[in-house]
Amino acid sequence: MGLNAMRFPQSFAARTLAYLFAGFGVLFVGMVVVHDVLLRRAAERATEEFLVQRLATLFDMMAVLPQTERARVAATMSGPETVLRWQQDPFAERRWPGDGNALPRVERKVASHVGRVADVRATSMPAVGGLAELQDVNAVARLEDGSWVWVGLPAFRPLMAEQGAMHAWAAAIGLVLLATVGWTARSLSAPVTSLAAAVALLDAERDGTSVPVEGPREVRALATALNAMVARTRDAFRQRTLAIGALSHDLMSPIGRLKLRADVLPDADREPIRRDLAEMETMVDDVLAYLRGGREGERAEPVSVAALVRTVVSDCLDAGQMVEERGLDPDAEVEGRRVAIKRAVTNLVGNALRHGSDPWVEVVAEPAEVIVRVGDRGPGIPAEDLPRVTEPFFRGDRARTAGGGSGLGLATALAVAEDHGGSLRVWSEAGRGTLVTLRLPRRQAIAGGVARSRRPASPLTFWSNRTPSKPAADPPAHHADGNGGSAFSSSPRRSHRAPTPTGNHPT
Amino acid sequence: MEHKQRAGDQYEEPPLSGEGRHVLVVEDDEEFRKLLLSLLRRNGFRANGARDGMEMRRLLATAAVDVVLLDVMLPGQSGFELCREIVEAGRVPVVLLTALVGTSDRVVGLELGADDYITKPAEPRELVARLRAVLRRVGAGRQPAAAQREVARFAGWSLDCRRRRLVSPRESVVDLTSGEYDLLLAFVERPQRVLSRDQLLDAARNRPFGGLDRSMDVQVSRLRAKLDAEADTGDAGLIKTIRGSGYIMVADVEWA
Repeated sequence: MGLNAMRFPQSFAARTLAYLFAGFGVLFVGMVVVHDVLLRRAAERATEEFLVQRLATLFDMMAVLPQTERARVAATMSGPETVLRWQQDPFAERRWPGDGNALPRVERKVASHVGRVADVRATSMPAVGGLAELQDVNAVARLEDGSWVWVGLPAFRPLMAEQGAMHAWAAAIGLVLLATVGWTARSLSAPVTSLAAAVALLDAERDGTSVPVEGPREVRALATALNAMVARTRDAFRQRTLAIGALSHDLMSPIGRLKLRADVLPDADREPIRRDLAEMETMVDDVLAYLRGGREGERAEPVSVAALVRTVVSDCLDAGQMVEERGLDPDAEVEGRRVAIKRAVTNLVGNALRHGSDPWVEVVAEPAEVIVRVGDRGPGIPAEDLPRVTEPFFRGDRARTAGGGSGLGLATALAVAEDHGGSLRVWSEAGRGTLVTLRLPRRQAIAGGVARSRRPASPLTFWSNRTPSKPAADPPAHHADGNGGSAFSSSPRRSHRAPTPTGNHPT
Repeated sequence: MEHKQRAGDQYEEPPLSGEGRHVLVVEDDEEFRKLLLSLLRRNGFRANGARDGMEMRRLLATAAVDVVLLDVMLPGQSGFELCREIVEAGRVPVVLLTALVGTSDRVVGLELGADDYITKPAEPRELVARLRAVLRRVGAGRQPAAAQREVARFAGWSLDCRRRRLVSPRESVVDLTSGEYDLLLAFVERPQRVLSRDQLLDAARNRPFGGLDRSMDVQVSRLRAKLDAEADTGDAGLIKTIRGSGYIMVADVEWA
């Protein structure tokens, strides 16, 4: 069979059409054949009967006529369709009696209908259209007085069955039927297709997404079932989130108490405890922030990114951690959530401090975007880890051993970037360092000007270190001075993806 | 204590410590409440605890309380309700203890009239410092925050004291560290007056300047950098150095 997997129709509509086509084809041909056979048989019977009647009438008439009248009447009645002859002696025509097929049933019936004749002989030439169309019918009979009558019918077709026209009609009806079936198949599959499209947009982790319940009953049932499943999944997510949130939240109480308890200790004892507690607090806080998607329940407002980054750097310096402040463009303003953006930047700087060395930060205002770059010299992120660093709870080997960090920093930063219609890009080269670029749509002056642009690309891009020539726009300027790299953290939820020079993360 | 000697300056504020001042701690976690009380007592406060709104009302009715330290998450009546009740009733300032990291709770709390908020795994020193700052403000004869002037406007800037939010002339929010905010508030409350480093230190007392105890000059220069960068002003800026004596805020301040 020519139907291999490749050629077998794949879509619901095409398959339905194919099945219906095959089914209707068999049905149609069968009907036509059966109809033809039955019709032909009926026509043959009728034709034979007509022929018998005709012959019987003519013979009977000749038998009844007085002998003197017979030749004259026979001549009168002869025409292009009927030849009637009478003579005293048997006929010796060239075709008689040998040519043609004998019609024994006709002969028998005529003899039995007309009592006054005997020795009936009838033949016809083989007809093209079967026995319903007889050609060159010849019949002779001997009358009671021994004279002979000859009837010749050049064509005998009393039933004009127009098979061709019938077939044409049947074909036309068949085509209409096929078109209807095709349209039906399409309209049957259309709801399924649109359901699939709607399901593809479902996000079980986000509220408010459901598929529309419409179309035929089965599709509606499927949509309802899918919505129920999504709701259950969402509930499960919510339960999990609530559990993690509750746990994290509850951890804050003992941390708070420990802080107070440690306060009575002498400085030498208190400081390490205080640091450990601060670290625990940060981790718990990271989890809570991630679970809130970096949103913190605030409204978007115009925010100066330069001032915000300055605050982050100041806080680091106050905590005794050196962060180099490169250019901070005061024009870098975004319409955004201040606390969320600050958290994202803090996470990026914290990563650079934790995993790299000599961290620096810079803010650039481009016509449509505000770019925050955080770089460091350090070991860099291993190429195989790079695509996963933004996954929640993912931590590279080095990050794990280096200690600290919840594995949520970049995931939260990415969530914040996406939430603002921005993007996050991680570039890293082993032995040189890591550069993280956070892009946010720039706030446009009230007077108008350039329309706010959203990055069309996916929110996250990452570069591997194998192709130093690739990061054309951003990194070289900052990496020319030989930066190292950093090992960031992310989570194991998604499957491992081979690092590509400019892989796009579908997050 | 160290700030005692500064009390002798021409500075109008009363002594900064909360010594002898009465703090009412409303907190349902008994262990935590005890720890808070002992912390406050170690730092020279008189402190009493209440488990819920009922106890709080009883104590407020019977004792002269200077400030209420109020946990937001309480069984029964929430801290926010109690906060509104206290603010409406009188002049006792309220400091909220919120375990929630989300900013909306802080905003809600401050809008209800709380004088300050502290997120819950609080650094003990910060907690003490914040309480002192609130007491100092109230002690200076000002109304509790509910009746206080809220927004200061100067040279196109606006400083929302309720939300601790600085908005630039270009109408974007300029993020400040806590130290910078306190410093700016000190300048805004005393415009066109020369403030010495010690006075500024006092004013910004509720913020221990990190582990390294950055010098006041560093704080001022950071604040100045933010103000100058955002304002597009080519001139010397809003905060000027008076050689040998301190700093001065040159702009006019209007309160709304």
